Amino acid sequence: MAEEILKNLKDKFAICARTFCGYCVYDCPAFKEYRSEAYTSRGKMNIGNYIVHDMLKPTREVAEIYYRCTLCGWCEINCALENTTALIKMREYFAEQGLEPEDAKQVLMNFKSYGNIFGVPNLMRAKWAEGLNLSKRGRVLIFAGCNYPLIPGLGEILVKAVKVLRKLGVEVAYLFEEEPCCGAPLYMLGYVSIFRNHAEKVAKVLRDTGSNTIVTLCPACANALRKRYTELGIDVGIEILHISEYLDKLDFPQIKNTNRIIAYHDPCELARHLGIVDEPRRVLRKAGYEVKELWIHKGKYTFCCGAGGAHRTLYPDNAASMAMRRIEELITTKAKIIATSCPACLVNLRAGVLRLFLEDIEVKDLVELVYETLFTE
Amino acid sequence: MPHLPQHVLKELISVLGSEKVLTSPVQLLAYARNWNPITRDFASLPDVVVLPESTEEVAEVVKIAYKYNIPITPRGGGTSMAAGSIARGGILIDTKRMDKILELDTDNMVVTVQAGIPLRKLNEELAKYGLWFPYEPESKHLATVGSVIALRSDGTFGIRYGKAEQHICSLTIVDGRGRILKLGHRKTLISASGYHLHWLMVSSEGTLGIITEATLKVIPLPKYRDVAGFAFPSLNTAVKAVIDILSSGLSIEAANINCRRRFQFYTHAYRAKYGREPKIPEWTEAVLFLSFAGDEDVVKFSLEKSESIAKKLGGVLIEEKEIVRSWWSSKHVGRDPPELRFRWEEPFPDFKQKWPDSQKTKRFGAAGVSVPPGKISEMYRKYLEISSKYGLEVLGMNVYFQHPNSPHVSISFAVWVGDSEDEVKRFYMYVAEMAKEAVKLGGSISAYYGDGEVLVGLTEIEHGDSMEYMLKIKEIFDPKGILNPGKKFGESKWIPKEFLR
Repeated sequence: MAEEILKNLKDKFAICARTFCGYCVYDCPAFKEYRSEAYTSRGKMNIGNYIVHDMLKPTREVAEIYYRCTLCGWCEINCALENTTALIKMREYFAEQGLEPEDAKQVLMNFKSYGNIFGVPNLMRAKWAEGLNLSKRGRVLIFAGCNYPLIPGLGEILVKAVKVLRKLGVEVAYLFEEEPCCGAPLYMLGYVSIFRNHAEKVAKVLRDTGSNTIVTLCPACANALRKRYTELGIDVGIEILHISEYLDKLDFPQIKNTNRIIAYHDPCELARHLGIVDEPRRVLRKAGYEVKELWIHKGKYTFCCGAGGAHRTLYPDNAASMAMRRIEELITTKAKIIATSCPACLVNLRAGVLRLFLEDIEVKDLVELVYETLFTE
Repeated sequence: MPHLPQHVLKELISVLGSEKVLTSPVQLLAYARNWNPITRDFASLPDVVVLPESTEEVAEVVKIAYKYNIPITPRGGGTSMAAGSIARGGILIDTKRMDKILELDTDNMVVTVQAGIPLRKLNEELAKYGLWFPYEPESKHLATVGSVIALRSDGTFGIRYGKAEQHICSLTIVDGRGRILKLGHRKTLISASGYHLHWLMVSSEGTLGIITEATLKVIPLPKYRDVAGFAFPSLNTAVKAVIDILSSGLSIEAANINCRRRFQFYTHAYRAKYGREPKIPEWTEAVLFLSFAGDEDVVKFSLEKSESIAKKLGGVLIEEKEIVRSWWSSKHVGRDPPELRFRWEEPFPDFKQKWPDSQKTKRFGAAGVSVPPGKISEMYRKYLEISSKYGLEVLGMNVYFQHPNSPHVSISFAVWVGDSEDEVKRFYMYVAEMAKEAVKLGGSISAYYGDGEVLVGLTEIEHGDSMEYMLKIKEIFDPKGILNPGKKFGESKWIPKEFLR
């Protein structure tokens, strides 16, 4: 099986070894953090080529290089080798041989025991919705995912999302403890066949709800349900929207300009992998904020905060160090509020702000910001 | 392959810290190749890769190497076409961590940078201030300031701004003893004092010193740019057109002449987008592309004027702008973020497919030589002859005009090279014969990639007895011969011996 994976990637590695352009190297967030060329896409493709030629044995150390990557997709801006997918396949290659990091195995164990990556009962995951009187069935279904409900402090953002949507005239349903994990972390960690089997079940659960639209706050869930499932030939059969896309379609009440300036950090999964760039900005403007743009590293050219690709789960310290790098860019806009629209980016950027001792900078979720203006008018 | 004794590694770690000293095989393999044609399993490893962040750290590394006689290979983006940054044991210095802009002096229009900054990164930063460093090879995404100086690379805008030496006010280098030297003239390009040792670093390939900092001239970003393509019935008339346009007083920003096949190669994005061949007249032998930049009215006038000059010589304007745009994507903007592009230069869809699509079974390999302007056509015939002699499929020729306001050119004669040992070997025989032919025609064996590990040995054909003086100069800077050994001096590891005479 592992050999089969390598065989399928062989030509891709060869193309990279022949081309050797290095367009992917410089702005690669892993390269910035880990310094050596090995961590770039070109590095990993070429190392793969040497594994193919039996010049390097797959070991834990080699595997780790492939896991110290945020799967942010920067390399794909300049290259048509579908690098992110290839790198995930390489993770699968290592995981098949049991060479993945121990923490990845832990995530898999959590998932196998509890159905979510945090390893807590699903009832706890649904706790955020207590007292909101959400029904289990409805036209629009909110897909809470795992990160927002289970990362301390983020649950209330889901509550705010429900309140915001209510204020705008939309009632969402929620599956509570029956909501399955989308499985994205499994995929990112290279457990591709487990992900595939799981995805089929998830698709069925979601189809059976009879909902027309699924709204999620989490870009990784959106990307998994929308793109990754499709790549594996699994169709959920329901429109899947990120909250920013959904809010973008709704009419807002007349809101006075808040005079608050925001720097928006594009999450990789949202901007680069799903192409959702204008929607969050329009929503923030509709909510009365002024969005200050960076000179570069915005929209599909965004620069990863370090959290992506389960990198924060595996290497939180390096992820926070990468977040510092991103925060330093974002504060050049002079904005005091950094907005983003992804739970992983949110907590990781907050860690970066703490490490930089920036007491006057706040990192907020787009939903929190919309809530603030809608409920203080 | 020699291995470094433990105590040397310890010393390196003591000056740099362990995170900047890499020794594991997987790390070393990421530095095992350059962009020159090689077999798929080629790997040449250093014993250690170091990642210094300052001139001082480089100096400390060189001092250790000097003490123990250890070879040092400096490396930027690793896109060398003559194996200039291939290490064969010893210490490989990856300069890419030295990527800071140290001072931007807008009053004096100069910028001082650490030499490991890639050119595109530098220009991204400069563009914030409306400024530009107009020396951009096509590898600008990763090619570093230090490496383009050390190789005297081509730039897209060579016919207006020239090569490396036109841009350098001063350099900081570390010599072969680990001594830090400041070369050149601080913040000015103009001086008649002393020997211009900073120019000696141009195309020195790290054999005299490791460039660690550079003070470079910058210019205002042009307000507007436009590009036109002309089909010509012959190479000679296309060259004549450039000469006539220059003598009319126009300032061309970029000039390239493609043969038909190279034109095909560069318009991949057009084919990918429209699913058809870009149309040019049947009789076309050469396609000339010109860019002009400046105020919009001046650019428009320049294009009209150059069209009328081209017409007189039998040139026909390529009316379909999309063809020109797809071609220009290849040369300049295809990979740039929006801030660095003019509106019409928006990224051409599918551009990024060009390299991967074209390198599926064979790869790009080029003999990069120069010949005087009157000999381009003759060299082109030789190219067709020599490539066929070695059984290599022609990929096409690109003539890069590389000297300010003059028709002096650097030429890439490209062929398709397979992965087999035999084909790679034939490729280097082809390179050797092309190089010798270029010298016969009054040109040079290497136009934009230094001598590297490939052309060593042929250098004597070009330089004769003066090689002796070069070696003496080398000894002054690098008495123990530890700086990038095997490059420029010695025997080629790529071209068979019998081809070196």
